[in-house]
Amino acid sequence: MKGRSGRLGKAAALGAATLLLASIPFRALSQEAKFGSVSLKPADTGTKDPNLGGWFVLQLGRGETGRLRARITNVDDVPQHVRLHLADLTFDRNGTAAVNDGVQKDVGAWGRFLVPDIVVGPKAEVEATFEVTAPPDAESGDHVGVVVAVSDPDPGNLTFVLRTATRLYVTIPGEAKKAFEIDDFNFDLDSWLFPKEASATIILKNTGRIRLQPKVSVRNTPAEGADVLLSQSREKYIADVKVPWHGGLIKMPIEARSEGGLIRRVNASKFVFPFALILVLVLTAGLAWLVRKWWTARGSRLAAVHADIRRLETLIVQRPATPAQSEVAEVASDEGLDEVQALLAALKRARRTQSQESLERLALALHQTGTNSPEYLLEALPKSDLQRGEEHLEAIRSYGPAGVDALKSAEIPPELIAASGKPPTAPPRPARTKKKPPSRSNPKKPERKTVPKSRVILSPSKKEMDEDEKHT
Amino acid sequence: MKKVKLSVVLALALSVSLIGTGAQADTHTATITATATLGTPAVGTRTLSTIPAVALVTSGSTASSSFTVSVVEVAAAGINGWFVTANSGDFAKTDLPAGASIAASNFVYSRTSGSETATPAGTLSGTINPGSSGPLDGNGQTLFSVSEDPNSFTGYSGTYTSLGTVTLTPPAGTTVGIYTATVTITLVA
Repeated sequence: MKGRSGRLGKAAALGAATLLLASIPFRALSQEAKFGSVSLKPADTGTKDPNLGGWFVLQLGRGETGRLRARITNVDDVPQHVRLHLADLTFDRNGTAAVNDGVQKDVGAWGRFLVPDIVVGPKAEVEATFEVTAPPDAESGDHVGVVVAVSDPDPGNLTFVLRTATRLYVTIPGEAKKAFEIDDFNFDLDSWLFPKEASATIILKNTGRIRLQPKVSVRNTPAEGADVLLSQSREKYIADVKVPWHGGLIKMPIEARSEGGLIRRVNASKFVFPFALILVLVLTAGLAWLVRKWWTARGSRLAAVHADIRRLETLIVQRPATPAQSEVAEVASDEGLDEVQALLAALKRARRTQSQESLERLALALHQTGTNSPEYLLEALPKSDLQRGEEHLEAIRSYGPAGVDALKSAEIPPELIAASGKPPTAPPRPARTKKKPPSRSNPKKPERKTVPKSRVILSPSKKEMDEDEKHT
Repeated sequence: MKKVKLSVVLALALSVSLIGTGAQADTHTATITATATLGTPAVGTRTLSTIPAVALVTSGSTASSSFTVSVVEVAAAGINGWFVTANSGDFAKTDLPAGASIAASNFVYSRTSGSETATPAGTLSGTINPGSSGPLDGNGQTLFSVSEDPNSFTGYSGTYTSLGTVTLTPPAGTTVGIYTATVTITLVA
């Protein structure tokens, strides 16, 4: 009692102080609760009772009176004056329980503490008894209320009242209504951009008078929450539901089952903006555009190569003596190309592209420029058709014994031999100026040849060309 | 222009609230003092801790202060969740002439996002959930709630704390004077 009177004296002093402070700037009028609330729990329940014995429970017939004991613990170092009473309990839409401070209509009006004002010493514990009388017309089933322990207010500028409320369930036997409903639900995504999960919160309300043990699932995902849904109470159940990566309108069917075959279902859905799907589509479109661009560029390059080959072939096939020759030579000259070099370059490309027809024609054309070309002729010979094969044979034979020797080791199709009607002998070579391509050992002394338009033709050896190709 | 200059208005004096009047109509008035002594800490308890100083400091036409509430569990029993709520009565003018008041709807709690903490975190303590912001009239606001894990119950121990701000904004035309109010903080288990 000394502590209480001391606090009241301090309150009076503070009240006077606030009056004085009214005439000066209001700076830091502050207040604090210097001690906490007491702890309040049942003294007679066990772990098999609701909430593992953390709640007061009582079963009463209509008109009967029962008694329970509350254990009040003061964990502070100062004595506390505590007022005890019963009250109704209400639940808001979020399932949050609140003490009814208004007119009591149910359990709050059914009972009282035998000694409602107590002082609990510092770090002490006391038991207080209260009794509950069920009205004669009480509805069967569970009735929910709270036992409340109110600590004395701590005086100051703001008055703080700390109180502890512990649930009290009074069960009236008889046929009671069993009912519940899905009262509310919402879905929160874990990310607005790329959500993987949605946290589904479901509020169940027991609208009957019998405690239930519902099992809740969202999209077949079990939700976690209170095991027992007590009469007239609301409880929150939470499930983490996987969200498809592509988003869109996602069905979130909610199902709550309780004993006795009670089932409640809600066909809910959640729209998830499909950022991921849009991103995938954009990336796919971009990739397709890049592939198309690459393909087009490749086609252009191939077309350019083919065009080059065709143009060079045209250059070669049209001899200088023909009327077109001067024109081709002019073009070649305009483009800075030497005819033999152009032929050699074309032969390299024909090899690269494995164009047999080009190889045959280019080898013959090179031969006809007077440049030594048995290697190319022999290379083209095995796959030549009959007509061109005969021309190749003739051309090779024109190199005399060396050509004939080369033919002996060459793979000549039998039908070609039969068609030519000549053994691979050495007929006299047509009278022409023999041109030897400059060898690597003597590059400074190339043989010169007079070609139309007085151009000098250098004919590298095949080995040199192969090396050149490797460099290329 | 407001008639109220908050700097001289908000002197908040003592006002003892009457709570649960319906159950106290015919109560006894005797008091007893417990003599049993507990060890420290008290096992199986869940209590509201002391409230740190709430200093309403004026800023323009409002007065606000930080507001911290904590609950301590020591091997507490229970598998169902519990809540901490706060509500306020109207601010009543206590100096003469009396009679004016400021509705509690002008006294607003704003939770500090992400401020809810549970220590130590782990299976022996529950999971703290954020509360809501809003005026402290009527049933007030839920400051925070705690979910216990029914699958791993061994007795919960921990300290749960939420931070927020309370702000009083007197409506225009409020009479200058000294006002009082009572804030009730309730732990509902």
